[in-house]
Amino acid sequence: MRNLTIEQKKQFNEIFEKLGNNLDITETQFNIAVHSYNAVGEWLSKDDSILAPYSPKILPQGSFMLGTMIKPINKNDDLDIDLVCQLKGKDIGWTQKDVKNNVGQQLKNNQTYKDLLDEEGRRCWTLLYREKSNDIKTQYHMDILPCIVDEKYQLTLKNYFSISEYSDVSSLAIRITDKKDEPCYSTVTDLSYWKKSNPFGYAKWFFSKTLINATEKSKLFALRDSIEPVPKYSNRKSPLQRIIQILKRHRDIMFLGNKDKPISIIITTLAAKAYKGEINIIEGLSNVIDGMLFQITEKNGVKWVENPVNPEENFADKWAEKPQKQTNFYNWISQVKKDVDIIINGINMIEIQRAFEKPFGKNISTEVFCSYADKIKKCRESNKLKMETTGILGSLGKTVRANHNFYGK
Amino acid sequence: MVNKKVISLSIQAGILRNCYPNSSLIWMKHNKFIWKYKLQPTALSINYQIKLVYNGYKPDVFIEYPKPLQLANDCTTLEHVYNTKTQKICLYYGKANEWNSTMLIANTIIPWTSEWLFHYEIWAYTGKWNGGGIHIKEDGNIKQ
Repeated sequence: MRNLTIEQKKQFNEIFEKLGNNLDITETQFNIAVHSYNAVGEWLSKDDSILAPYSPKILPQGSFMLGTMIKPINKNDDLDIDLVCQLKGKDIGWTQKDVKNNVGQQLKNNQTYKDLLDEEGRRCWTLLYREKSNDIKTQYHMDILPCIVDEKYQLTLKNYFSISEYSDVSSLAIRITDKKDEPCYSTVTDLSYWKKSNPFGYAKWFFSKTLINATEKSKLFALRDSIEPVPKYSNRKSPLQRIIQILKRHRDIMFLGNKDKPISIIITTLAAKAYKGEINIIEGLSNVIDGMLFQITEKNGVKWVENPVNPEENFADKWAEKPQKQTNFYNWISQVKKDVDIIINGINMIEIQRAFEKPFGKNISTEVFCSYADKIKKCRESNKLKMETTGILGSLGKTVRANHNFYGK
Repeated sequence: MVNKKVISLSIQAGILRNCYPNSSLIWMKHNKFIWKYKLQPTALSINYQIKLVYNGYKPDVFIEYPKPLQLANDCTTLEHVYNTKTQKICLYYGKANEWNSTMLIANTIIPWTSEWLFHYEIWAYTGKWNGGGIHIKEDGNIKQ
């Protein structure tokens, strides 16, 4: 990487922030999605629902909760929204299968959801909103993970997310159902034998990494808001969230339509582990790219991407059976490094803009730089644009007079 | 209303030299000067050599280096110029009196040139001019 001046780093930070902005889903898409899954939650908890005694609650998890969600490459592709359906306890006689089927049955009791429901998944029920909609804003599918928590879970969660320190999160684990967990799946009613998962513990870990350099106040705000059933849309993201969005976009472009592409949970985990609290996106991105591989360990000759909240779980467990996935991951890392280097080493603004095109796509590159330019124009129109004696436009130097129009052909 | 005073050529030239160290000034007779300077609109941009010619009425600005400036894909001319070949650029709308000789070139024309360069760079890649302004259509009419 060439040595950049502070000013150049600042400018790259601004450009990459714009890239992140343009990768965010829109506020409308966000609000429609929240509205839809809340409606599902209300339906499941209706008085006459078999689940009503267990106060079912739908909460976002995964990238929707972590703030690392990105738009799909093609406007016609679906957004994936990962949700949990929490039940506070269960009937003493219910097996995993009963829990799964009761959630499924309650969904099917509603004609709308019945029509949207995909084939039963291994752990989830999936609602395919896309199929029923020509409206781009409602093109998403929702993966709903049924799970059991204890009575006090919501309170425990609140307590964890009202302090910024990271501590042992094992008490945030939830019990899930898994069709492949036979014979337990259809016979065992004792929860302590059911598989655990810990999406909220993971989120707590992730936020502790992303907010390293944030002020205490904004840390707590971001934390508390992330576990609200109706989270607020925010286009203000931390540098780590932006870095992960940028990496995921690069992955999407490089592996368009390839099922063996590097998966988001691996990218997110390795990036968060490698991140050292850099405030500037370009510095953070470069360091994360250089550091991600060092976060992969080996156990008994097997490559291991450890789940930070469950050391027993290897996010890269598929690599052993499908070596192509591992190869793709390593190829991706070296490609993303090359592509980011080409951008940083661009000899002028025109070359730098061109260097965005291959790794991130033509349309988004155009949008990024047009919105970057538009900001300068708006700044001038509101008398806030300044120029240094060298010509550099920004917040230093003399104010640029507002009222003039570029004229001519 | 008090009429603002016309600023003399020598004051314009003196202030340009003062505000922009390392610029060069050549007097062409007593009523015309050429002023040259290097401008860099952003930290990631190259230095552009600009030439300003002033006769007391209307400052003309040319981009001297690089020449030719790169054009956006599928474009044969630059945007907001009087002439693509000479790279004489348009910075203000004369009819609206956006600039007149009571104004300091150093505080108007020069920052506007840097702004033009900024929007030129984005245009050269995106093919879109984001700097606003007024376009003259083929029939001579104006569209905003």
